[in-house]
Amino acid sequence: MSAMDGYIGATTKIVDHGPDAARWNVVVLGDGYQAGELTKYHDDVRAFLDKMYATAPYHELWCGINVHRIDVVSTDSGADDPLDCPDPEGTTPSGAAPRTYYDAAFCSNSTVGRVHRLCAVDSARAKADAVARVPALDVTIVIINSTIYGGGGGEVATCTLDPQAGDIALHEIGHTAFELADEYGGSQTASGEPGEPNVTANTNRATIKWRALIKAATPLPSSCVAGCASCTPPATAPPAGAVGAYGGARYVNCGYFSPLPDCKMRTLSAAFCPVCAGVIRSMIQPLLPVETFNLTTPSISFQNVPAGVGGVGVTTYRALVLEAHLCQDLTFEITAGPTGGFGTPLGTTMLVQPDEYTSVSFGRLWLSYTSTTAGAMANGTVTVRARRGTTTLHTWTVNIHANTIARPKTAITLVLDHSGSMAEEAGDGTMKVQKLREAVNIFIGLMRPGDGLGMVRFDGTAQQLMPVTDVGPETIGAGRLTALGHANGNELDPAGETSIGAGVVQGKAALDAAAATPPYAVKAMLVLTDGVENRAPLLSAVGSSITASTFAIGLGTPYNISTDALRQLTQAHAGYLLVTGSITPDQSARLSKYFIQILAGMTNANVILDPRNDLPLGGEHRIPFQVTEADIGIDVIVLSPLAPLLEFSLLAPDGTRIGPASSGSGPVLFVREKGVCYYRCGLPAVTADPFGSHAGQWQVVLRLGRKAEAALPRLLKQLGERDPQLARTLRQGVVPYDLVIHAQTDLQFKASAEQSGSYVGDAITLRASLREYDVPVENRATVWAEAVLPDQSAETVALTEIHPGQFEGELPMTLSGLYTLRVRAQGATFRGTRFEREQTLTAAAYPAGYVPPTGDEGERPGLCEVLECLLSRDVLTERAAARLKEWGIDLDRLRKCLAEHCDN
Amino acid sequence: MSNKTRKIKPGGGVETRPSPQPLSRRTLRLTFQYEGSRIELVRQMRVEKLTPPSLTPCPDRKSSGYWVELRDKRGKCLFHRLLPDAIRDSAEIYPEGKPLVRTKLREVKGRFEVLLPDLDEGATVVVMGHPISAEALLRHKPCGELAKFDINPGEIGGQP
Repeated sequence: MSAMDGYIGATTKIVDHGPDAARWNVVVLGDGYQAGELTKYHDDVRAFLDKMYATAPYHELWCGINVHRIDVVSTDSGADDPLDCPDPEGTTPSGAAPRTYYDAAFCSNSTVGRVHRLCAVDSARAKADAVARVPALDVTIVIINSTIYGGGGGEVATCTLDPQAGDIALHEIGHTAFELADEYGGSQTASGEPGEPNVTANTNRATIKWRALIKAATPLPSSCVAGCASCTPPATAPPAGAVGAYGGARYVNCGYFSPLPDCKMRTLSAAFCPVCAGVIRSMIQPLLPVETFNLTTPSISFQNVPAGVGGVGVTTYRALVLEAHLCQDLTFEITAGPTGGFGTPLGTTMLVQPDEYTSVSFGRLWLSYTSTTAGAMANGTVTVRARRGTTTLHTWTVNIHANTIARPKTAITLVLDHSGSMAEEAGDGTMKVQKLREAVNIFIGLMRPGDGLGMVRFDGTAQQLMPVTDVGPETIGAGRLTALGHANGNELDPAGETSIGAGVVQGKAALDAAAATPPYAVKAMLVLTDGVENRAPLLSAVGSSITASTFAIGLGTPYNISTDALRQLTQAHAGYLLVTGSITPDQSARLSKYFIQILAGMTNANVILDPRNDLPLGGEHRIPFQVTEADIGIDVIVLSPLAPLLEFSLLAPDGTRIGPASSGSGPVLFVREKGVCYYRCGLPAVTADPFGSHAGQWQVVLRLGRKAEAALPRLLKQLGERDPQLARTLRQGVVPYDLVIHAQTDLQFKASAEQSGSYVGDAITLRASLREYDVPVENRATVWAEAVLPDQSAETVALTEIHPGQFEGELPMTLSGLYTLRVRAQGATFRGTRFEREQTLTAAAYPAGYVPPTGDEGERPGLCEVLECLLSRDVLTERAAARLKEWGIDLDRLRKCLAEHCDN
Repeated sequence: MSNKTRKIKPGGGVETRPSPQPLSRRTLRLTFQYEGSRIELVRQMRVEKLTPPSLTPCPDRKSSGYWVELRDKRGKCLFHRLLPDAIRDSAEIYPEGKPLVRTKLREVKGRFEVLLPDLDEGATVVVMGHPISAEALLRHKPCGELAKFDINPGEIGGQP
């Protein structure tokens, strides 16, 4: 076992309170961690630091401490655990002999035998490695990857992962860094005054080292070890916790004394006694930085807050931010105001505490503004201060300004494939183009009034069906009806080849020409295709000209779609690609759901919930979902072939039922169309009940009542011919439905999937971010992905919070085909309200050696090549040329004309 | 109203940085190796770093324990660092929830490191303490000089 048994990786300053030259530096190394266990090692280091941070007096000195973590990789996992060295109080040795970088091993030799709990490493090498990387280090700790209790001291402190073992390292640091002696006794003989500050031979009240901490009433000596003749015990024992001179210290029972009967320098689980804590404090205090603080928001602006959804004002929050480099807690509070009608939704006082891992801490006091009507303005002031105890450190007066504008509008162009392959079956018995029409109908129906829609179709060429036009009010808007006419007429009938690039160029042109008053705030394009581009222009040639956010949906499997080209196009333009795979009968609404999710992304909405289920005939489903105070409005959408027959209502958190009859009263709208019905609610949904109809747990209630059951026989008869699959499902007594809930919100969740490559063996990196009022959601959420692999098996990927509000995880692609990734988040808002978010992503892997079709190969000859071929002498002989000349066609002149136009 | 960064200064009830003594901005990192009574200085290294303070008075020969003194050319102690448990003939066993106990080691052998201020007038470092035999620390005997080393001038460092 040696340095051959591993290697050293990165050094990371995980607690950074300033330059190493001016701080107390801890270096942590690991031993017995394999490469695949480095994440665990990082967690173990954090657990140790959390313990150290929580141990007085380190907490109050933390701003003077830096911590550096060195990643050390061992060939094997664990530590040597020799069979011939049992721990009388522990577990039976395993006999393990792993190859580790620093040779971690239980059982050091003593004269009385081998002591299992002494777990040592090659300390000289560990220390040299630490010094080489952090020359200014003060203490070195090696964490050993074993759950067996053990550790040791010396040149480096060691500890295992046993929950109590961290105390071993903290005890040993007391020796090496703070000159503290052991406070337990022993059979040795006292000889002179010990130099260490926490043990003494002196019981004279006037001269004892820690006399300042001894009360006059505390007897000295304060206790004696039994059998110590030279020590006279006090008549009355001092009260618990009284600092005195207690018999037994530094291996001597008779003649040496310690400040308290117990201390971490005597019993590992105890706290440091006041004398030891004082020594640690005095050693580190000179290294503490000067505290600073600064109000980073000298004014607060609620600029251009949109008017609300359905006539309800949008409440927006902004924070007064105190940025501080602190060693002690500080109070940040509002002392006057705010004036001007602004609110303080989360209170007027906040305790700002030093951060464990970074030098900077933030205090935030929140102000709120609720928008009214476009053009309205508000002004006010608020006075805040920073104080410690009763001492005011500084006071600021901050100006506040707000104004309301009309809701920002979005211009969207749908770029739709109607090539010949769209006539193929989608997988659930219906044609792809039928699926497309269903999805586009729902998309058009869900667009918000004032938003613009354009439509482009493409096969081998592209045509604009409709310029970007205001869709108008829900259901009856003129733009909406025109768009539905294009979607449901014969303009999308399948024919021809596939030039996605041509469609994208037309889509761009439609967006470039889109105009509105006020102008569209967002421009976005959604491309749908079921094939591989096989006609110029290719996406690779036109992608760079696009300026709008671009999303794409591939209808089919990754093998049949220009997956790579579409992924590159969308990722370069703030969008993403979704691939449906083969549409199975139980996922027949998948394409519509993808359209709806992308509509949410384009309009800055978030998906709260996206389940699919079967509603039994005569039964009732109640589906709970969470709404937060940061949500401005919700769309609750049910997709079902029996949407017209569903009884669909909402229950607000206080139990208020919102049904179709509520539509049009206040901010609630209910819409029922073919295949879809939805509620669009501004929040609070009941103006007279702002608290009961906003944040909290809502429920969707779905029923199929008698009316539906009565209509069923007739429906089955109709469906028997048109949709036999659905008819079969209904005969089984269930109605399939998909529920999608979106929120217009200030609690934004965004997820993305980035592939390291397109082949089996590559990996998908999943990233997600959560921001509440543009502040990272830090340590308040859990994020994970539910992955469906190409073989339809399921896997869960945990996303780790790598930075505040930013999460990351990885999924290796071990199979070829489509990966569907449902990235989900759950957490709590600033106010503690539960929230849920989710977003579906897809990724695709090809088998090794497979070359995906790109459109570059086998490209059809251009018009010039065709004409040259047709006019060649192989086709048109001299005789034909003569005959043509008779008819007035000069073939030579034709060829010359062709050459002039095509020879470039 | 000003947006300037505020400093919390000592005094006024917000004292945060009492400084017991001026700290050296340069530090000597010295690594010693011992085996029985033989003590070697195996590495000297200069580091740009504030030297942690020493809080106790310099021990004398009547004291008990082990320590390192930084002395000037005339032998005056400029700084000292105590060495609790750095030189040892026994090791701790770590009972859970009970006072610690020690077990005697087979040999007196090991390494330790001290951080001393890198002072211009510093000339020698002296390891002080009870005599050491091959098997034990002779704590019942008076303390004295165990080893003495010159401090190398100029930039020093390198591997141990």
